[in-house]
Amino acid sequence: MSGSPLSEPVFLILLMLAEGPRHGYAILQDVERWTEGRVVLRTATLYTALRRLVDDGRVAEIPDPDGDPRRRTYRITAAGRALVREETARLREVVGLADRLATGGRGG
Amino acid sequence: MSGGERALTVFYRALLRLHPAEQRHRYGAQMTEDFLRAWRRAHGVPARVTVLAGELAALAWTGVAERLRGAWAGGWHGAWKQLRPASPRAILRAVLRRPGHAATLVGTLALGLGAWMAALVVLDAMVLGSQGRAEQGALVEIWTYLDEEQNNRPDVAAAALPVLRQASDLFLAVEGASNRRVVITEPGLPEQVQITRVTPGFFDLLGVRPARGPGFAGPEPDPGGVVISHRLWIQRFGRAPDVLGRTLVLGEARHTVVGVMPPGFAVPGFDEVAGAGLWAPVPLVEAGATVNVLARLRAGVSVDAAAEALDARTPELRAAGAFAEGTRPDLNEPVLFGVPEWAVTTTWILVAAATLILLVAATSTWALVVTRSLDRHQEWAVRRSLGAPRLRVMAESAAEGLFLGAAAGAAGAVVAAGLLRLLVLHAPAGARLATVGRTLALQGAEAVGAVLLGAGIVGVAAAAAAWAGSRGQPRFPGAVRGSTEGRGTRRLRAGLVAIQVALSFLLLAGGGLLANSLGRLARVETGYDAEALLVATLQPPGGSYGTTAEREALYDRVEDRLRNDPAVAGVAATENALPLTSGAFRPTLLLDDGGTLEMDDFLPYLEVTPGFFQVAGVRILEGRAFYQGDPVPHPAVVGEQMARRLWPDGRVLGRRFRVREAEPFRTVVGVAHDVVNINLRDPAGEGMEFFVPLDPVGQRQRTFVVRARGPAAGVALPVRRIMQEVDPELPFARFHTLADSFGDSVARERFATSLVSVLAAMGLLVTTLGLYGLLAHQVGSRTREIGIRMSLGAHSGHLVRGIVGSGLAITGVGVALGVLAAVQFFGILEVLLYGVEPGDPATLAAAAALFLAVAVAACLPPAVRAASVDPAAAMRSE
Repeated sequence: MSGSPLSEPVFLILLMLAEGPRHGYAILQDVERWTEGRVVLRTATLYTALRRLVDDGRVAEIPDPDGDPRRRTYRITAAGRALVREETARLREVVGLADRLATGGRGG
Repeated sequence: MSGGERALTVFYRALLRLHPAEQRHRYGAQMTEDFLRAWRRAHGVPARVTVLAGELAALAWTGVAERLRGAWAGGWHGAWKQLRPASPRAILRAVLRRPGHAATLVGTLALGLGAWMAALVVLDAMVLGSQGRAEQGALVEIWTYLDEEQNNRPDVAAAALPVLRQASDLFLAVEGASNRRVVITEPGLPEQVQITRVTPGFFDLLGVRPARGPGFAGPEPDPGGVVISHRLWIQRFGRAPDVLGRTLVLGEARHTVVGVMPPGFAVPGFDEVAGAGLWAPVPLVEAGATVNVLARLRAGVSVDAAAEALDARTPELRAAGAFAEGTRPDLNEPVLFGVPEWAVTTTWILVAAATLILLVAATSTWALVVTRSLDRHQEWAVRRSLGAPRLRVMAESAAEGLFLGAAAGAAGAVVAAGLLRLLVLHAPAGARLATVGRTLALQGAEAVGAVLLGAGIVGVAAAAAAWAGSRGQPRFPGAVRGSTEGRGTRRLRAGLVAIQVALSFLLLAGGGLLANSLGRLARVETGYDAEALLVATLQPPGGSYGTTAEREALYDRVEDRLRNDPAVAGVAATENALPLTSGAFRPTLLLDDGGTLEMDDFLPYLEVTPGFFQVAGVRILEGRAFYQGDPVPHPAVVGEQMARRLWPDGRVLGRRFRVREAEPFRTVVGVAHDVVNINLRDPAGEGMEFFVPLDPVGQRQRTFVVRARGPAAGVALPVRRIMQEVDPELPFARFHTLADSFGDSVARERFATSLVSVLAAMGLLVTTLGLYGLLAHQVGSRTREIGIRMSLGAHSGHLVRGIVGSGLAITGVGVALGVLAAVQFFGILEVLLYGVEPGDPATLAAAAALFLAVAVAACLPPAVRAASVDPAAAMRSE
């Protein structure tokens, strides 16, 4: 997965988890709140992405802190944090490039 | 949870099935729960609609995307590894593991595809082809309208052709044709045939082309060139491949063969009678000659508009010499060139019947594939548990299906080509001549289409069966199990068989109706001793027989020789052939008491020698026949029907009538039993006809009615021999037996009946096999269950009844569906039926009874097998 840009839902899910472990539903709500309603994740999108992130070792499932055995909580792994850093750096580079080209003209 | 939420949950879970099993197992419950939360959190209808639509769309889309991603896991290479076809040898090995199954499948589908392709070619040639031509403008005839009488001439002066061609705003092309008889003197024996002389663009106008040679289309058409029919190519040139450029002598003139028409081709309205056509270019303007004109309208010009425009130009056309004073052009939709209605109907019936056969064959094929897949569930499950992806299993099964289906398609193309060949040989002339658009042969692209269609049908069936069948876990010896076949599969197969029964029932009932109708036609009373009569027409060449006296001397010699032949019981002469096809067109009959009778139909009459009535077996019911030197001037014998119509008071003898003002009154000396004219089905003249004495003056031909001592065909050789002995230079006489010509008149009924009957037999066979296969497989897979039931005391009779009963139930459902469909759709058969209603209950009941009987026969072997199951052996059979 590394090397190619992350899709927006995947990046947002990782960002939410980077802030702290959450239930699936909490991720949905946080994404909507943090993006001010611009991005509304659907359950199918969320859990498909989560399954792949778990399988890739970017996200781990942990027992529910409240002790509810049916509910699963997700936390980001070290590999997941590395991916967030990598993607953030990539985005920063893209944004910098855009700033230079859009405001400072060619070559900055 | 409210009812609405429960329904949403069910729906969500159903869509969730689009996702891979792993996703469902790990996250399904959580996803459903979170979906409900999101739903509850949304307030107001618009918000809820947005949530619902977004959730369901995302669910469906991600599910499909994940499946695709799974298939694509290894990129191109991985996908190739999963989907790559097994080696052809491996496919062949897999297919041939069950040779019986493979052969049944290929055979069944080949029959269906073959019948269907053949029907489509006929449809294209007869119906679609003509419509296709209509798109570039309709085909019209131009006649000469004579203002005074209603006797319009079906032709125009040859000089009109170039003038008409100048009306290029109306016509795309204007071509002419005329026909006459010529004698082929070389190569081979002399034979009189019809030659149609056409303008060079005539074939192009019809959209036909010679099968060999350039015809008249080349850059420099040979003015002495002739195009010959397929039949002449065979009979005169022995199918010589180098026939082009060879010489054909017509009378004295030498011609060069420049083309051979495709088999069965005839120019409508010209070549039907002669049977053996010849076509030659006609010199455009020949003094005093007339031509029949065919024109193609420009696209967008309607027949009515063209007729009006042409009518308005009458003065110009007259000025240009195209039409004589007092006449004008008369533009008609072609009478002779159109496809006859019955031929169109027969074509659609053929297409419908063939489609039924294809459906029966396809459902049967599907059932065969399902049956075969049942035997492979274990194999697939084992392979999957050894790591083969499900997609791979499916791809392999699909490859086998594609292979089998392609083989069936190829075989189907061969079947279609064969059926079309048979059609060309056996179709009545009226149907053959309609196929001017294309020849009845399968084209390469159509054969490829058959292969693709066959591959598609079996490939999809095999892929679906493998996908559904590779779901399960492998079974291990000793594991608890039910029957191999799930209830769903069994229902599917039973449904397929019921549909087959319904479709085949339609074919069988349709065939029954047509056969019933044909039987009634065959029993129609003709009024002649048709079985004993041979009718021979002699047309002596003009050179040696230029005068009436010379011809009469010849006829006398021939008649004398015929009468003295031991095989001949009697001879009479007429001026035209039997059955009566000539007479007065829409006459106004004038009676001696001043009464008149206007007829819309044509009134057949025939000039005959006095012996005719006795020789032909036409009974005189009242009065007498006329005789040589009859004292009554212009005597006539009228048919019963005519006597009743003209003189309802019953006093007929001695009454007088005439057909036209210009003719003398004829006096009735006798009333004859009515005879069938033209054909058995639509006797002309409202059933009326009359006979008058033969007047030899000016007649160029003579027909001999020869009564044989035995069957009529027995005198064919003596008649031919006698004519050759009297004058070796005489061209072959045209002759036929009267029974044959009545038989030919119901050729279309016989043709449609045999078509549908053949297809019905195919349908019955395929359906019976399907029913048998279904029950046999059920019994086979329930052996263990049956064994247990028998060891628990079930009676074998009970078992047999149960199995036969389930077979009959399926058949019953199918027959009921078939009866409903028959009542609904059989109206289209009406044109072809004679004396039978389309929904004839007796025929439908007979077809139903036949089906149920066949069903019992198909059920019995499996039932008997079930009853003879040895309980102990069955329990050990796992």
